[in-house]
Amino acid sequence: MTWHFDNDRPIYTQILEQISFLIISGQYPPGSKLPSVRDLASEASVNPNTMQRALTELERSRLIYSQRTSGRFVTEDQELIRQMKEHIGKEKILSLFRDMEQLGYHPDQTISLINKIITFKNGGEA
Amino acid sequence: MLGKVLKKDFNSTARFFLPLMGGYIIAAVVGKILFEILLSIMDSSGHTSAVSEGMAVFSFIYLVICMIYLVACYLMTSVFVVYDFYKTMVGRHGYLTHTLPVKTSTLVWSKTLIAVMWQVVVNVIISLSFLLIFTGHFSMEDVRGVFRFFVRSLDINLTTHTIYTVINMIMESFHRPLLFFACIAIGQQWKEHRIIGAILAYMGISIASQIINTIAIVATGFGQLLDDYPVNGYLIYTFIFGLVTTVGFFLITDYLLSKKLNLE
Amino acid sequence: MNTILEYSHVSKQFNSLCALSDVSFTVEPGHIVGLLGPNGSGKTTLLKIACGLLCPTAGDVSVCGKPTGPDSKLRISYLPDKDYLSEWMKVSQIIDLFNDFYSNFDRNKAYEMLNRLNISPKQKLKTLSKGTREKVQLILVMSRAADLYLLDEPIGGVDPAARDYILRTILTNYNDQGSILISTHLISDVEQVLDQVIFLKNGLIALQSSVDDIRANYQKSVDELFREVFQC
Repeated sequence: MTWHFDNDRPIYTQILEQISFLIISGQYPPGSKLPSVRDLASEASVNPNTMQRALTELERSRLIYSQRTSGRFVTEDQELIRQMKEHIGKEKILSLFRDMEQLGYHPDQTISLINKIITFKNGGEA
Repeated sequence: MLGKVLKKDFNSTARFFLPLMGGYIIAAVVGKILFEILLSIMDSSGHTSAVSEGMAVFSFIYLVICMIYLVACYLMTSVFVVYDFYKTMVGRHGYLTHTLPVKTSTLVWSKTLIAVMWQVVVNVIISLSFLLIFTGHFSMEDVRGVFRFFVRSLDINLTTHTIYTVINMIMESFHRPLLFFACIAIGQQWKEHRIIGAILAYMGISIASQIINTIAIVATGFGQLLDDYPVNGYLIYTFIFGLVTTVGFFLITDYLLSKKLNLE
Repeated sequence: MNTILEYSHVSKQFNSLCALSDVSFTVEPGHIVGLLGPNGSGKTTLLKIACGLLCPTAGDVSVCGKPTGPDSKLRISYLPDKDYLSEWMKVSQIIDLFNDFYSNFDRNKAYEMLNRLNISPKQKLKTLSKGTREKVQLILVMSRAADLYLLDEPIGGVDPAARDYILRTILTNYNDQGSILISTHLISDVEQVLDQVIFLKNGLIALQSSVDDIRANYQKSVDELFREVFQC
């Protein structure tokens, strides 16, 4: 994957989100070993200290854990990953509602618009 | 560390000196052959032919060119030494030289020793070339005769004189490159026109030396100097003056390149 | 751990021109610091003083607590913004030279990097293109396990693809106990590899901050903030 960073937010929070996304989407499967800080930093072309900081945050949220000698691993706790997935899903939807509200859509209108698109999409495929 | 710096400086100057010296050696060998031909033509004078005359003229011209080459060798020795110092100590390559983990004095020592070495090499090769040209045309007895005449006419003690001459030659070979180095280091103090600065420094130092020499000779009494110790007195003075200035040039170069370095 | 680089009240005067005035800062171990400023703001002068290529008019510089000298020079790996190697040398000869002088130079690493870029060690420098020569210089600098890497405009004259390569080379090869000081005016390209920045304006430090702090406090990238600070 390619790493992309927005300009207006600290880079480590964006790394945090992107690694979470990789874990939730299964690209880093539960229990798998993460690349070293240095490799990850090099892959994302970011400062190793920034990468380190992001990983430390992820450890705090228990999404990853470190073993003293062998490195960092993705959690095996599927429930935790599911919770995280739901959390991020909620965040995305809330942000969608906020954007729609700015366009003048009431949440109900947004939902009906979503339904319309889904029906259209299904119809289109049929 | 000095050894490593010497190796680096040797490599970067050898690429100039080796072709120059190699060319000279070949020229000298060819010169020897032509010289022999020239002599044999002159011996058999009487039956001159157009061919032998042409050969004689050619050989003569060639030997003149050899002499010019010889003078050029001396000149180029200084030119190469100056060029190398300028390039690697204050020029673009100074970025490498001055970021090496080496003391500035070591760098200056190395440059000096390499310059001395090449001067010795040039001198030895040129002396050998003369020996080569004249081999077979005089006996050792002739050489001794010339020498004895020389010693008798100057009325000097041969041993002391030889010692002084050798010492002064050694000092001169340190003095010359260090004078150039000091001038370049002084020229470096200008923000612009650094080469002109170096030339001005050279002229300034030369004039100052002349003045000091003149004063010294006048003060000690020129005649007396020559009367009492025909040549040795003057040699002692030259030695002391040379030693003081040589050490001075080293210290100036070291100080300016370590404490006042301003690479462009 | 000890401070890697310390500038205290450093000034540099060129005749009437003041290139740096009263510059003080420190670089701690393990940091990648961006030295940012427009052309002529004193970036190169600042780096050259740290290497001992320029002597400051006033103030002191120390590297790992040591003043400028053979000791500090061994600890610094410096990439100048110009071609400074002798053109007549072969790449292998330059590697030998570095190996001779710097005890922290890793010859195998240098050959590996050359190999990866298909640069033949037998080639003479004068036969290489300008871009390749710059890569050779970078390889020499990054093959040393130095305490402080001083990189002057490492991505200045190269295309975007080469920029990525250079930044990745720096990130994967530096000694992580050490620090890097990168000078550049191409901020958006290096921004994400930096963790601290120093803004230099007319020889004065205009701002010194961590990159995440800038983003958190100003809600803008270092590049955007730079454009604001140095608006003409």
